[in-house]
Amino acid sequence: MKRREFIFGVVGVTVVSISGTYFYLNRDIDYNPLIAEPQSLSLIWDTETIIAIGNQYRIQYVVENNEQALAKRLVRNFSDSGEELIKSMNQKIKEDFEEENTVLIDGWILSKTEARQCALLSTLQSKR
Amino acid sequence: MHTDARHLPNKSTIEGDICIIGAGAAGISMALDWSKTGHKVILLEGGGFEYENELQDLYRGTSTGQKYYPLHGTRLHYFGGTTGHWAGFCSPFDDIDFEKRDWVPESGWPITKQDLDPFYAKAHKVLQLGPYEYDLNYWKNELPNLNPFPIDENLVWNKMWQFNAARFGTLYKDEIINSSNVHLYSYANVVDILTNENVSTVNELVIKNHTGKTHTVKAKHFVMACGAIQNARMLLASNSQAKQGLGNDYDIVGRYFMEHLEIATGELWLLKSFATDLYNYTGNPRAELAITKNAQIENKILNGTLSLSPLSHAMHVVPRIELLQVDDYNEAVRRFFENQAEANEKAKLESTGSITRAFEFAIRIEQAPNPNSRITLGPEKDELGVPRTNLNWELTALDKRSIRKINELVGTQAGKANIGRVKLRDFLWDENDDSWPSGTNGGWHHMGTTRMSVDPKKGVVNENCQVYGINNLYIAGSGCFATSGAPNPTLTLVALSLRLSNYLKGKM
Repeated sequence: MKRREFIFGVVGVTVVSISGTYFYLNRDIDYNPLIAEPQSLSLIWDTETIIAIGNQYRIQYVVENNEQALAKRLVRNFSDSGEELIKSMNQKIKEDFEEENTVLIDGWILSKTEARQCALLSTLQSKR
Repeated sequence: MHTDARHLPNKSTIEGDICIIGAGAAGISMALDWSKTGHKVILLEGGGFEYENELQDLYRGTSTGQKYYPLHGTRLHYFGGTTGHWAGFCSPFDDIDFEKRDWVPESGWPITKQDLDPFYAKAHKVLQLGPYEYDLNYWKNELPNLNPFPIDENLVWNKMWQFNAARFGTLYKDEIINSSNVHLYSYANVVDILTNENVSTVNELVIKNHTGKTHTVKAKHFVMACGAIQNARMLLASNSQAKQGLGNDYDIVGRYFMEHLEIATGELWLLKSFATDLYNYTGNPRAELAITKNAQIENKILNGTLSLSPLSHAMHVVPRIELLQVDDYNEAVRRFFENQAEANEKAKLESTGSITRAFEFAIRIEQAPNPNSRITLGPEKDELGVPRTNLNWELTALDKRSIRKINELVGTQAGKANIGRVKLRDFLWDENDDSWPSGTNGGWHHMGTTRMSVDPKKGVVNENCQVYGINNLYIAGSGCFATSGAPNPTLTLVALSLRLSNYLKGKM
């Protein structure tokens, strides 16, 4: 099944599995679950670590401590999907580093975008 | 020629044209430079040709302030000096290290990097290094697989290093002993420097050894080459004619003691394997990640570099400042190698997963000149009657802020290039925290106690390493450094000593 088949127009909460993690779709804002998947960080961390980093981000940035707030900040173009979306997220992460839009979470120097990705995954995980 | 001063008749007088006090990297480099010149060179060494506890004990002292090593364990008191245990890390200082920087108090040397370049090249020969080349592009043409990380060269550059743990004691013993004009005296510890009445000329040195014998040394010129701590100690202790000690009219002798801070500061986790030998810790040459001059100016930080070593090994290494807090030097050496072996064994268990692409960042950074970081004389005397040393090592907020910023800059660039992510050690997480972690190592690099300045009120020696106010007394070595740069000091101190040697030849 293609990933984009999970995405738009879904009412309620649907659990999907991507790369061994779980994602929810929400009625208030539709987003591709790929945005909760930090591609680069998954090369060095396991899911447990990504979620722990996400938890820490939510503690440090309380105003973003909900799925809606995080998703809104992460989604750039709602029409992007699949490879386009990944490319767009990676570009956003690169721009973060260029603009020093970074955060320090548990000592890690992360782009704000990828830290939010961790946080979004963390919120989804906490709903399970 | 060589004479064991213990076998001279008591109260002998030794005479020569130039007297070099101390047969370590600086002293031997100078003596070699004077070999076959027709001038009689006296080279004084306090010890013999091997390590001896009795001699090493003369270096014992106390320390206050930032935690430091036992002083007698950081230097070696025999022919060859501290080259007997150095690791051979060599890289020249950068242009900016010699310049006045508004954000670094008391920065700026009276000489430039260009003044030192010819002597760096000469020092390379003494230290038996490769060509005086530190440009990555040069080495990329010479050797395969020196691929740099694709990071912004406007911010981070690859500072090259060469290595040769040249043991001067074995390398140059025969050459010195067989020299017709260099006369080495072993077991000749200087205990006093005597001047004329108005303290403008050194007349003679008093030397002693454990046999109880005392001798006198007379020469036209005297060069102190005993290391930054011992040079300051001897100037301060030679106070029979000048109450504050020699060269100390403005209370500068012993101040501005500097070390290189060598601390594990973070981790670089590569997203995928990166094929290169450029950063291999055992590579020769190899590179460390350095911050460009413009980025240092923009961020108002000190000069420092980050080396990479496999995290699987580094995570098991005990910081030297903790490991080497033992009285017996040989025990310290044993502990060091034992810990390295243990770390090697434990690293073998970390052979899978992303940790195989992870590296520890270890910074080596200059310490900002600080007058309160200083050598003084303590109340206790050594066996030859010279007051022992107290080191008060003090660091500043600029030191800490610079370490944090350097790691941030490299971490951000690693992210921008998407080669990996950087994790800072917890002592760097809070930018308002000026405290230091328990693993704050010094590199056993003693610098700056007799600093060079154009102003006698701000320095002990002038641009020619001559002690202000005393026309025939000079200092060779890292004590003359006005700032300490990022690289280990030996290459630069040998270059500076050879520059002094060249200057003195012009005066003879």
